[in-house]
Amino acid sequence: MLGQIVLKKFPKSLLLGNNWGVGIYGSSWNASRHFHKSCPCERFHEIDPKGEWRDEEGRARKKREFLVGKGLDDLYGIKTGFKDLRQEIGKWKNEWKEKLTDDSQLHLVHGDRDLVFNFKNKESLEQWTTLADSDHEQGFSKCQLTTSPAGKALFQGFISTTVPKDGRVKKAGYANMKCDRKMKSFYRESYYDWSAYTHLVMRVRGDGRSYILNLSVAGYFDITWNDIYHYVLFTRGGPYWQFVKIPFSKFVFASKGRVQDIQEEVPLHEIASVGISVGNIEGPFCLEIDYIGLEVDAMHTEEHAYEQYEMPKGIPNS
Amino acid sequence: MFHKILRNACAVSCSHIGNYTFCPVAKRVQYLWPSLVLSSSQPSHYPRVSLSTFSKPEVAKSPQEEKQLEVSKGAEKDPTKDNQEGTQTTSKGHEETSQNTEDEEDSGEATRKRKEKYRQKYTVNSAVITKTFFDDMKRKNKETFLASIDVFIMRDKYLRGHVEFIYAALKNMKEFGVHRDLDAYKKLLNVFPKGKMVARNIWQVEFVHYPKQQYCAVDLLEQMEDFGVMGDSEVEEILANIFGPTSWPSRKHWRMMYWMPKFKNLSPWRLPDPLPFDSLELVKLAIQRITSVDPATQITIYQAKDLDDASDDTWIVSGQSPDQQSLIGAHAADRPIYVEGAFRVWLRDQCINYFILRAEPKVRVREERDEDDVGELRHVYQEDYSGTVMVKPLVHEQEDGTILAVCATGTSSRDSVVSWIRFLQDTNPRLGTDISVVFTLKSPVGPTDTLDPTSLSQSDQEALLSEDMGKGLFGGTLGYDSNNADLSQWGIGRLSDSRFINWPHHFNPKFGQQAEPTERLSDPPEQRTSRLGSSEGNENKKVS
Repeated sequence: MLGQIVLKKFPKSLLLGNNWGVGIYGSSWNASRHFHKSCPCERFHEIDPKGEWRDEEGRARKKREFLVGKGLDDLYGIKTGFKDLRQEIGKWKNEWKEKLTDDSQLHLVHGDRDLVFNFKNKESLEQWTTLADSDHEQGFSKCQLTTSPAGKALFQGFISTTVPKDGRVKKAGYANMKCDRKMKSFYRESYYDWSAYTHLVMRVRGDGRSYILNLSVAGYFDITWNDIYHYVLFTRGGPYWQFVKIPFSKFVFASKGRVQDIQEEVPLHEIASVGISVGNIEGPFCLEIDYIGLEVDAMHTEEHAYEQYEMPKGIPNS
Repeated sequence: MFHKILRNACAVSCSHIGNYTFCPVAKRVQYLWPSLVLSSSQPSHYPRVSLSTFSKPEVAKSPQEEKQLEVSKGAEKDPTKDNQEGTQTTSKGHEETSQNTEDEEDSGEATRKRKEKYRQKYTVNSAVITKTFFDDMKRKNKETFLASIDVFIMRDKYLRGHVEFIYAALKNMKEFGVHRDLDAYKKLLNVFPKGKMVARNIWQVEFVHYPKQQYCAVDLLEQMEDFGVMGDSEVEEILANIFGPTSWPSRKHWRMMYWMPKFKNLSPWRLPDPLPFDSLELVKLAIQRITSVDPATQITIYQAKDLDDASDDTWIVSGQSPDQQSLIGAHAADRPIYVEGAFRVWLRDQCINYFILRAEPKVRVREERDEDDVGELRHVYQEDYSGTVMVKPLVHEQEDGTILAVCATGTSSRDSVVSWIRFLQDTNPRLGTDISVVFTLKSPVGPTDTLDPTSLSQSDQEALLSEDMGKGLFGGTLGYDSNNADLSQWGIGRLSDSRFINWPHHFNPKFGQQAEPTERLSDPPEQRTSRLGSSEGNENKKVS
């Protein structure tokens, strides 16, 4: 077999964009167990964190306004910035105090569980945003995040796999909920630091569908803007609550939905946001979430579940 | 290196002498290109698979010979008699005879017709290819699909339009029911010529040698992945033969072979692949899945017609464990037990409705005391303990209710659920007699779908209508348009892939408003009808 001559096992990615010919098409993100997508590919750099959903008009307008030249009021938002200065300095001081006195992760032992998101009331839902393909004119799915009759978060909606006939979209049907970025003082984006923990725990009541958990690790550089670690959450369905404990070592590294060749363990000290996605199968969906938390399990010694292979020479882009 | 692979791989009894080989089929000697790496499943010198024993058709033939060839081809491939090729033969024959008579009169006309025929025959126009090879087929099944591919390969030595053909085939696979069939994908891959497109230097590798074909193969593999079809070593060989091991399709295939096995069996609740078609079997799987929290659950199948006063003739799959029976036995007589539904559970892409029997939650009093209050200091040796052991709560006792039983019926109607309660009285005599059973639409367990508003009482229907309608996304507790009692209000189209097994609307002609059942294109043709009601031969039996 050829496979024995050439090292044959490689993790998956499709790094080329499908830009063949006139009918350039980008399939919408298929949030299934395969999670792949072929997108209008920005080869050299990512222009905007929102990627193909960037607001082109807004960007052009900003550029124009910048070049026009305005008074100090509007230029760089200096005036409005000064108003916020006092507040932000206060926040910054608090941050330093916390940093120097924080010992929450020092005394964690085996079996400790901590909550990150506790969906006990309506206010807890405010830091989450929902998205469906209909929001980007890539499909007709709908979704909403509300409070369930039991008082927990309820992520429900309808996935429609009808492909809009615009020549661009190849596959349709996804919905997603994502938590907002953690922010520091001076409107800086911050990260969740989960380095002391080994497992992600959740108490959910699903409808039997599989959902995808996403841990976004978007960083400063544009190649990391779409880096997400995925794991498939299988729900039992039924009236019984389900307790899920997922080791971070099992999360799969992907970018824009494409699983990458070079896999690494989750960088737990720089988690940007958490999300849950669903898609691919037409019909209504409903997921009730009690909490999302973290656990320390000292017996779990696996660092990363996916073995790597050495690539042979001559294979590009690997 | 490749010579050795060639010789080791070739299973057919071709005799090799250096770079020449003798083919017993075509009865001639052929030169063997040394850089060709060929699959073991084919004669070594054939550049591509050709399952027919006919020689390739030549362009410059007299009309009579051509007609004979096509007729003989049509006769050879019996299953494809229905298809375009058959009709083409007769029309061509007609054209040819007319052409012969008019030949002398209008040679310009004849030339035009001949050119038109040539263009049609070797067209690269994807619309024509789709129509010719797939849309016009009367019977669409695996056999005709594979025959279509054969016909395409046979008609043109140079395989003009093969990329367009493959794309058309990929689009039509679902209609032919072969979208999950590895053989069909292999055959389709074999349309590509072998050896010709293998990159021979680093420049060709880097600049995607034959990009159109490589992208096409990648799309083919992508479709395989979408439908969960895993390739095997033969696909790897075929791809290596066509594009070489450094190509994008080969690499994509390697990636699929790495990741798909890892993801295939991740679900803790394993489902058979493919899922059984019979509704009752599916519902049994669903109830087993739901009740897997308690391994002692017993699943029983009842037939509504066994009761005297049941109007619905349907099966009922009920799941209850001894723990739940004892909970009913210990239930306070003054509190009612609620029957709630219909909730949804998904098995892959099939949606099933189920109902539950639920009691009010058991409130566990937690002592709130201030640990830091010095006046209330307690010492462990001076504590008064009650002496009783705290009983661990059962898995059925949840904070939003105690689940006492679960069921799913064929029609998900009020009647069938009432019949279920009657059957449950066999093992739970207190139900309905001591303890009152209340049927409700709303539930704290989750959003419900009111699928059978016609079976509700007038007051209940009015209550339903008066709730916030249009605000919620779909029916039940979130708003329901009872005037539009079908699934299309939720966007479920006529030809949806998902199946809604025991949802009354749209699938059960009894509920009348939408008489047309939804078919799935991927269902076998003989089973494309609504599948509800009783399943013959299923008596009351206990399934563990």
